[in-house]
Amino acid sequence: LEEPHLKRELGLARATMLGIGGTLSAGNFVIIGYAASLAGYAIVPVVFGCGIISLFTMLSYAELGTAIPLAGGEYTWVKVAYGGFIGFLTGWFEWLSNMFYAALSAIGVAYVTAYLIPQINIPILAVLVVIIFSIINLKGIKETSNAQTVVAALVLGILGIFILTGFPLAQGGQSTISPSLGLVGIFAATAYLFELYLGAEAVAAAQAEIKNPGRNIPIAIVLSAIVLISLYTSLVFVAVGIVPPDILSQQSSPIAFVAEQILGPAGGVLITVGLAIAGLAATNEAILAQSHVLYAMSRDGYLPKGLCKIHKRFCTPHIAIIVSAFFTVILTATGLVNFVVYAVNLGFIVGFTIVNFSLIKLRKTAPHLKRHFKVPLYPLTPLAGIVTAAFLLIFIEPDVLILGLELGVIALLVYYIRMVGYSRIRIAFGGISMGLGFFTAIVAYLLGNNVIVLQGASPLLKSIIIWILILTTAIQFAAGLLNVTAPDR
Amino acid sequence: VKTRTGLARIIGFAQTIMGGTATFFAIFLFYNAFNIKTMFGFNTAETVIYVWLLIIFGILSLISGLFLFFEPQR
Repeated sequence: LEEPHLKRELGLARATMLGIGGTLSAGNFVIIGYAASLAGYAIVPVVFGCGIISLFTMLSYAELGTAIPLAGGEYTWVKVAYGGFIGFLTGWFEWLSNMFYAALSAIGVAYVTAYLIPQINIPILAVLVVIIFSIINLKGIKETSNAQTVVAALVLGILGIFILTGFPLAQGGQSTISPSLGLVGIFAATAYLFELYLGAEAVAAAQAEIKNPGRNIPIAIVLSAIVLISLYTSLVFVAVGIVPPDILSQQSSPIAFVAEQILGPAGGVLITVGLAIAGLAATNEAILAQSHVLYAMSRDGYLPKGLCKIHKRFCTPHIAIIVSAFFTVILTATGLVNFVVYAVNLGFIVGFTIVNFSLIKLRKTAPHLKRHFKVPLYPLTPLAGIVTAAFLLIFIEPDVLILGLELGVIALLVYYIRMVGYSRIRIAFGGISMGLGFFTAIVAYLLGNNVIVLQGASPLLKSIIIWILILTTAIQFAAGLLNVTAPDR
Repeated sequence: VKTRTGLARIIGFAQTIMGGTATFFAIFLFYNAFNIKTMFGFNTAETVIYVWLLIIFGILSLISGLFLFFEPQR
């Protein structure tokens, strides 16, 4: 798991393909349909804009990747910049984001497959994909960048055929940019499609394997961003140029549907096979990445030690993989594409924002750090990354924002339980219990004196409630005392 | 020590049950199951506040109760 022992054998071309391959997930080609319903023909500039927003942060990844050449990517950089809870929070959201991304990739594979075989059950197939790749990861696979390069090249080739053959046919509609939901629709589509370019940061994460990292990492990141922006923008240009956005949004696999219009049934099959392969590779990568994050956080003492146990026979972090797989399966079983997409975006928006802040902090606190690449137009570029990402938060679904808040609170709780120590947590909960006891005593008093009135309750029900509150007060006080006087573990 | 352990188990169990009941009650209140909302005559604004209070009360009690119930013996 420790990257410093790896050989530096990836040149510029393969490092660039790593960045491109990391983003080519089947889910990306499924979500284009819903985004088209939000932005209409304006989806073309939206996709381009998402690429530019992502590029702001990718430049920060390039600088930090060369300045702090240690395994762990953003988790390690933030730990160096801030340490403590912020470092933990970054690792926590990195784990969750990769979990959401694994679920999205698996659901994406199921959706594109359902285009060819409509009878299949999408959530069941998606869950099966997660389980199979978790088992494969349990047994251990060699992280062959060769295989990833081949998959990326194959998918690029298929999408290239799609774009080149579709370009002459794409006409009408897109000349009049009229989003169906106005400016709000455009911003909502931008927030929704933000995850389109996620995965390109894999170049910075694989810095230990890249030859001449000081030169190749920044060039590979910028090159892969340029290729991806051109690819996705041309792809949606062709898609909405041939099939109107309202029809596109009704398809389970919009790009396969467009391919069928261009190349006939063979086109639909070709795209489906290509996207399914890309989706399987992305699912595998995300499962691997999330188990690595759990392993690293456990190794650093942030999470229980059991998570960094290595299997004797397979030499894999089996507990971390099983725990990751468990949560991914639950999420995948929901089959809720939009929810998962917004969850992925939320996780990465939080992560990107912290990375940009880390860059700014390290420029101030560690000015002598050897930086082979420096973000141009500093501090405007990282600030633009922070502001644009924070702005997109407004358009994330409220349900997902609440979930994010809850996950943040759980992170805080886990961190303090691990870091503050058992006995101090017990004392804290003792105080909380006594506070709750005091609160229920006041409620019982106010209810007894008719300051609080339960309009629909009979006198008998009211007296029962008062007695329950008195009993609750006694239990809470007793629990508080017992927790405060708890023996140290 | 034995008395303390026994007491911690009993109080911990009671507090856990209380926390769980409060959480379930919040869910029933939210969905107006068994006509609870109507029975107490709560309007929508009141219901939201009571649901939040019950959830916070319930979760904190649950955690505290579990700490006591699984208290390690000296």
